[in-house]
Amino acid sequence: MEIVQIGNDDFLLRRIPISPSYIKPDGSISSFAFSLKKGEDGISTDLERLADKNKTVLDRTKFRLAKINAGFIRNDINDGLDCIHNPLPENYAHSLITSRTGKISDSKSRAMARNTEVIY
Amino acid sequence: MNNSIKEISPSDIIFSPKSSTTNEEYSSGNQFFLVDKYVIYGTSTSISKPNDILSENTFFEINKLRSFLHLPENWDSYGATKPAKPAVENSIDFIIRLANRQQEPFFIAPSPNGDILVELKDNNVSLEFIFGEDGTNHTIGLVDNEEMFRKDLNETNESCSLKWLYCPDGDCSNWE
Repeated sequence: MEIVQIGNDDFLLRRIPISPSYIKPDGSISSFAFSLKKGEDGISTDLERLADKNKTVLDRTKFRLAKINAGFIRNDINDGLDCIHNPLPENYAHSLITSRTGKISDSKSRAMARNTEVIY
Repeated sequence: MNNSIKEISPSDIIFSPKSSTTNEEYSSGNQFFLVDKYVIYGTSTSISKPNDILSENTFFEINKLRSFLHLPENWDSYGATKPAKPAVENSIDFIIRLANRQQEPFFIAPSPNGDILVELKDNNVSLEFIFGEDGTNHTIGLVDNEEMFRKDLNETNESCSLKWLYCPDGDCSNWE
């Protein structure tokens, strides 16, 4: 599969659970939405321009879709974070937010959550 | 009089409201009374303080925490681990301690790793209590989303961090 370059103007989509909800009473997003799980090498997302939102959301009774700008992740949060296209056989849009150190600190997760917009 | 006192642990709290019976002071329906590790259903002349009542909202939060135990693996679709029982039980214990201080959480959620977050908030100040899947717990204080401190959770740090959130100027007359 062809790997596309993710530009700084690109947006990444991430499912946000609503039951239990990662959307707080004030509408902000929990940093858990952008936490690495043990053994994970990146945070799974879909590249917006390759994605079908209806497919990405999987189940609208369980999830919303939020988007975050790749340039923000690379340049504002920085700290070795990057966004790479990582297509899967069943999902060509699949992309990862990766960390050079292999870890994403709580403060970086919070920064991503703060700069995420629920769009769908 | 019927024995209306039942010793409980966080894992066996009854979560459906039971109506009080004859006590005029607590005669409105669906109320619960808490004294240390005892929940008293219905009426008891030994209950005299209004703060012995667990609010409906507290029971709602406890119910929510209990419901986390029924989440499947991969509940977030990204491979999340189901919340761990020790984390849920410790967070319920904490919610009950909060209720004794007339405080309620702002936000509760399971982490992708099986931990439980209980967040308290007062304007731009937040206090996060993380109850770990392995039984280890910690608290994080934040101002404007910037981390001010991170401590292992013990009785002293729990009390100090709550004090930091609710009465930073030392005036705790409405808190303790």
